[in-house]
Amino acid sequence: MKARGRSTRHAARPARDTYVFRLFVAGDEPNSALARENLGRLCDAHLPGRFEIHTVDVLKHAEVAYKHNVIVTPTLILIRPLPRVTLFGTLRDAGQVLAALRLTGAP
Amino acid sequence: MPTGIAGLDVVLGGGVPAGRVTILSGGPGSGKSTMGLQCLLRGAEAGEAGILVMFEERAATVRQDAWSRGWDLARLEKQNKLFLLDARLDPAAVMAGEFSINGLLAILDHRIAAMRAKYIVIDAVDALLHRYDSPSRERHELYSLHEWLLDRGVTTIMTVKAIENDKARSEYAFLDFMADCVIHVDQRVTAQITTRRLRVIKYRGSGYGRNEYPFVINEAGINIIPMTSNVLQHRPPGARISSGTAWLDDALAGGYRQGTAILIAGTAGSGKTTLACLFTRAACLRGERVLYLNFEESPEAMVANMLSPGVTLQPLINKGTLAIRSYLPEAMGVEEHLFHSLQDMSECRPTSVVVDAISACKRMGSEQAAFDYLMRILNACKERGITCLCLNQSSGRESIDDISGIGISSLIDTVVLLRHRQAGDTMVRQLVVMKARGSRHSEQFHEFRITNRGIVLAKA
Repeated sequence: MKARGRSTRHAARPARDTYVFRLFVAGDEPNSALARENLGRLCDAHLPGRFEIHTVDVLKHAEVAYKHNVIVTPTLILIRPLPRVTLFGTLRDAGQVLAALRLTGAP
Repeated sequence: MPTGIAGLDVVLGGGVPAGRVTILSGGPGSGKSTMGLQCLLRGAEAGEAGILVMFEERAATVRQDAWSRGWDLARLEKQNKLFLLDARLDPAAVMAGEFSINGLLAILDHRIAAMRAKYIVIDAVDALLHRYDSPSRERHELYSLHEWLLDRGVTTIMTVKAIENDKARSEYAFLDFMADCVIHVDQRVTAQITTRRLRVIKYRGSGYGRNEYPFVINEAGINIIPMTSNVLQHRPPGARISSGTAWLDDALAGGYRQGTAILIAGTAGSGKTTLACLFTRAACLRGERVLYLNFEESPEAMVANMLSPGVTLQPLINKGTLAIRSYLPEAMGVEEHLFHSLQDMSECRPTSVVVDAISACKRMGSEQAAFDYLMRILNACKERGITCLCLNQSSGRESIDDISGIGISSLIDTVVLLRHRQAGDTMVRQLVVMKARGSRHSEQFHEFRITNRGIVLAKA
């Protein structure tokens, strides 16, 4: 993980069908920690080896939050593949999140 | 902190509480967003930066609406004195568990520091609250936001939609307990005329005006017209001035007195307007300025009709000593009329004002509306030492005590009554001075005729 609140976690060999996420969190507050955990678990299970998660801490990068119009945390944005999808919250319901990310039925 | 809305600062005893949160609630179109923006603008113009957080409107729309009022937001934004933050949540976003508005707070923190912002206006905070799935979460989030704002020490105005539904109102009732200052605005329709009202519900640690105050929104923004003060500051009656009719001056022991209120009451066609116009002409010929507020005739019709009793007004208008302003009573609510009348008064700087006729003022909405209007006009005149001549068309059946029909008699210093009497096959006009405060006066019924050379006594 990079320092200063922006970190990237991704698979060794990014492929064409790699899922790229941007996850906006607010430091270590509980909702953000939960979202980080839930997203990581979900990607490992359903997108092994083909995901990238760019985490932005809004407390350290307010301008990035502003640029992306991020009002609430946690906010997850699916950057690729298009179309973009935005989710608010802890991502606690894996079924709902998978459906929103068009991953239902994936292995 | 002054709001920049002159009347509101008087009502609030100086402005909104500095470093605290003020709640501004009201229904749709009640003017709460405009008020918020006007406060930010005043601050920005005075060099104190402010931030507008919008949960409902687009920044571009706000800029456009402001532009139509002559407010150049873009210039202030460029000067870093104003920042519009579009905080609308993506309606397509999926709600997937608990969240908080830390993103917004982080952006705000950054901006407050960068701009040294003193003011924040949070517009339509209810739009944010709707995104939470439970009332307790809404409440919790709002309390955190309130604490956060207090910690930052910025002066905040939050606008909230007031919901008429009782259940919804109780859900948001905690807002009123939380904030240090709560202001409610509404617009209501009485007898088909819309009026806007403002009321301060609470203001911790401050004296404030507790009444409902009428206000208007015009192209320049919000205008509130509070009673200028709670003490009577009327000037004492001034020198004698001619009524414009020599024999009436005699009956009044020398004429009216400057700065007093005079009521001329009478049935239709009894000569009220003629008497008022004779007074007007005499005043103008003395070099004084007269403002004639006409609720019954257009200036052109009035000028033409007055040629019959031989009162020429056009030269006085041309000279600029006479200003006739005609308004349709039902065109506006009482506070809008008041606003226009007071504006006319400050533009014309008259020595005398004529209101023709107070009976028509009832058409501003109700008898109460007419009373409000007249009382404020009479007070404004008396504070400025302006003579105010009110005409009232009476049915002739009112009791002597209630000749104005609107309950303003205590503010009236002089009452002149005109009436008809039948004598054989002719109509006889009569005038009597019923009251002349602080002065002796004739108690006789004077018979008079309206000729093409004014009003003359029937018998010498």
